[in-house]
Order: sequence, then C-alpha cells, then structure tokens
Amino acid sequence: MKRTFFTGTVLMVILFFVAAGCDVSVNPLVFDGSPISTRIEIDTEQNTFEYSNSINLNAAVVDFDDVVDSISVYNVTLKVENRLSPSAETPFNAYLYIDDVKLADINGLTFAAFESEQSLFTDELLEYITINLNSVESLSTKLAQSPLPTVNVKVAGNVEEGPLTFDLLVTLYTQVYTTP
Amino acid sequence: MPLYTKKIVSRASLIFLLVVFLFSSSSGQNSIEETIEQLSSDNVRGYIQPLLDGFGANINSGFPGSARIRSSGLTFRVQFVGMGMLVGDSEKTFFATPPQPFPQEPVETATIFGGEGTTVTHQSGVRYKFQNGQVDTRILPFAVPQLTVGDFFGTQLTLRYVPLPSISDFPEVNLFGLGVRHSVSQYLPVTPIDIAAGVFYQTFSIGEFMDSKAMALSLQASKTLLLLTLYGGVQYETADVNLSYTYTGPLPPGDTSDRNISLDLRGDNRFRVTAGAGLALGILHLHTDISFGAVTVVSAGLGFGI
Repeated sequence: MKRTFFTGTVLMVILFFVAAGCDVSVNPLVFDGSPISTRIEIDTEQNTFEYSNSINLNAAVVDFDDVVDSISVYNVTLKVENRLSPSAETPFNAYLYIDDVKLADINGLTFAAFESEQSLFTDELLEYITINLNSVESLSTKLAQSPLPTVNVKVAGNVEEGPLTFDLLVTLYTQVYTTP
Repeated sequence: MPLYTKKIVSRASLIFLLVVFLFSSSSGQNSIEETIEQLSSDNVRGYIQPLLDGFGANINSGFPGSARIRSSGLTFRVQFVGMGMLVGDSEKTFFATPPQPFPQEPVETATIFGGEGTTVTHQSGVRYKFQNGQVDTRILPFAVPQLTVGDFFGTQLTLRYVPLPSISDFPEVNLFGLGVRHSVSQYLPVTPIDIAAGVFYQTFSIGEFMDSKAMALSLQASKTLLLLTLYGGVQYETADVNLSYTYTGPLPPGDTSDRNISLDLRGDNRFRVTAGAGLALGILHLHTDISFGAVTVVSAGLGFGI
C-alpha cells in the first residue's frame, strides 16, 4: 500500500506535465529495411557470361511488425567473391538487369574494384558506371506492389579471355515507410 | 559503427520517455524505440542529443533553492518536484550525414523533437530520407520526490529516491540522489542575503539498458521577505549516460561485428543560471524557478514540512 501511494503520487506529478500537450508518434516512421542480396555464380570456360538469380523483395520487410506504407531503394551494391579466375587486375564489362530492364552498364573496371562491396551509384566510379534512371523508377514501381514481388536479377558481360570463376553478390538497400 | 548499434539507443531512449510519458499510447512508445534503431551510429547521437540534454538538465534541477540554512534547527520537508526542459527551435534540428552513395556532406534534418526528416536525392534518382521527429512537445517533463533534512551546523541534506518495480514489459527504474548544502553566509559578517554552496550526486538506471550519473555543484543566494523567498544561483553540472544492449536483429551481408554494444553519451548542459521564488504557508511550501544554460528548464515544487 505504501509503495502504491508513493508511486501514485509521483505519477500524478508527471501527469501534470503530460497534460502540457505532449504528442508522441506524430510522423510516419522511416526504417532501413533489411539488406536483401542475391548471389550469382559465374563459372564458364568462355570469356562471356550471362547468369541470373532471383531476389524476393519481401525480405526487406519480413522483420517489421508495423504496417508498411511504402518502400524505396536507395542503394544497389556489387561485390565479387570466391574469385578463382581471372586475376583481380583484369578489366571487365558487365550489364546488370532487373526483370530484363537494364539498371547499370559497367565498363573498364577491374575485379579488384569490387573486392569490397561497392555502390553502383558512387561518384568515384561515375566515369565507369552508367545508370539507367528508368530502371530505378521501374524498381520503385515494383516496390510499391503488394505483396512485394520476386524479381529476376541478371548479370551479363565479357572479359578479355576466360575461364571465368567468381561470384557476384548483388545487394539492395531499402527504406521502409510505415503508417504513423 | 554498424546499423545494429542504433537498437540499444532506441531502447534506452524509449525508456527515457516511458518514465516521463507514462500515459503515452503503447504505439507511441514502440515507435520511438524503432525510430532510433534506424539511425547511423553518428546520426543517432544528433537525433537524440536533445533528449539527453533534457534528461540531464531535468535531473539536475529542482533542488532546494533557498540559501537560508540555520546554524542549528530543524528542517524536515517532503517535496514533490516537477521539472521540464523547454523545447525550442534549437532542439528540433541537427546536422546529419547521409549514407553512401550520397554525398558525405552534413544535411540539416529533424531531431526526435523535430518535424519531418530531410530527403536527399542522388543524381542517379535514388533518394534517402532521414528519420522523422517523433515527439511534438513544448516541454520535456520529469518529476521526483525529495526529502530535505537539516539544519546541522549550517548544513542540509537532500535525498531523492524512486524505486519503480518492473511492470509488464517496462523494466525496473531506480533513481537515487544525495545532496549536501552548507551555509556560507554564516561565516560572513552581516549580509543582506543568505548564501549557500551545494553538491548533488544522482544515479538513474533503467533495467539493464541504461545507467546514468549526474553531478551538480551550485552556489546559491536568497532573500526572505516574510512568506516570500527570492532566490538565484549558478550551477556547474554533468549528466553521463551509458547504454548497453545485445543486438539480436539482422546484420548486413558478411557483417560479423560484435553484437554486444556499449555506448557512452553525455548531456550538453554544463552551466546554468537560476532564478526563482518560494512561498512558505505554514507547513506548505511552494517554489518555482527557471534555469538558463545550454537548454532552458523550469521547475516547480510542492512541499510539506518544517
């Protein structure tokens, strides 16, 4: 009883200030969605390649309990992993497609440039990477669908000479907007 | 520092506001927690800094203001003190840096007390939006009970103690504070005013998420005219917060960072000037004051005793 009286008295004093007009959760929440990746394994004796894999866009919001209002993508990255051939200093050309709409042209970069995760939109690589703005819009349109679809990610390209054995990790970074 | 470090700050900040907004809706409480989870380790500090400043300034407020401490006599007073940081424009925005691939230049955007977060657009067409503000308030409130006893050789002791047990999902909350004030004017020749110096130390913890320590050194002066006491003072203060949490959410691909997080934060308020007034009506004692420092804090108290 004494503890209840004491606690209740404290709460009453707090209530006085709460009545001063404190509103919480006044704006929609913006979250970074879980990064979603797909691994494309390239293994060919040729010097050209064309491989694809899928990404389930729903993976960006699977951990959210809140009601999702919309999603946007703010970054797409590439990373070369498990490279056995060619050498890291070998230049290559590559084209990245999402559902058959070209997102990016990569020309004249070496594999070394992607041995750490690299954004396709980074200013430092602007002269080597051309972004198709229509593809960015197309991806945003897919992210507005409910339920979120699974999209096909295709990588095509060529190197001076084969064989080619490496993985390309494509990662999408999204933001999730929830209802207030 | 990776994305997941935001979660510890989010939980502790949520609990900050649970203590002071105990009647907020449950959806509001969860939103504050999840909101702060999504900020970068650098941006999260700017986003919640006003909240830390408010907490630190509040907890270092509301101490007895009258410097009149007798060489001997009996003072025994129970007070209920409410305080609140005034939220102005300077508490509503800060400069944050967007993530890659956006230009790494600071952008002015909303704090937890602000409006909508700023959206930055890359030349490729992709956009990034900073977190929106989540608390619309003119004042950040706090409240404590305190006991003041004295007067022993011109000295008074002030005690604050709030043990709140764990309730449902809310963790245990503990506040303990001890202050000592000593009359300086008793050593001086006849003075028209009373002068006292004080030191106050407080600890505040919330479950296993947050530990904070606050310290204040003050010099006070007052003048009593019948029932009315006018007082003022200067104070140096600190408020340090440690947030600890084990992140259990998803990590970016290939990220093997340590999930045990410990983050040390400090309120920016260091120095304040206070002016106030008190009214003694028998065993009923009222006081109110305003303090100016890095932030502005108002407090008011209701006391019973002698």
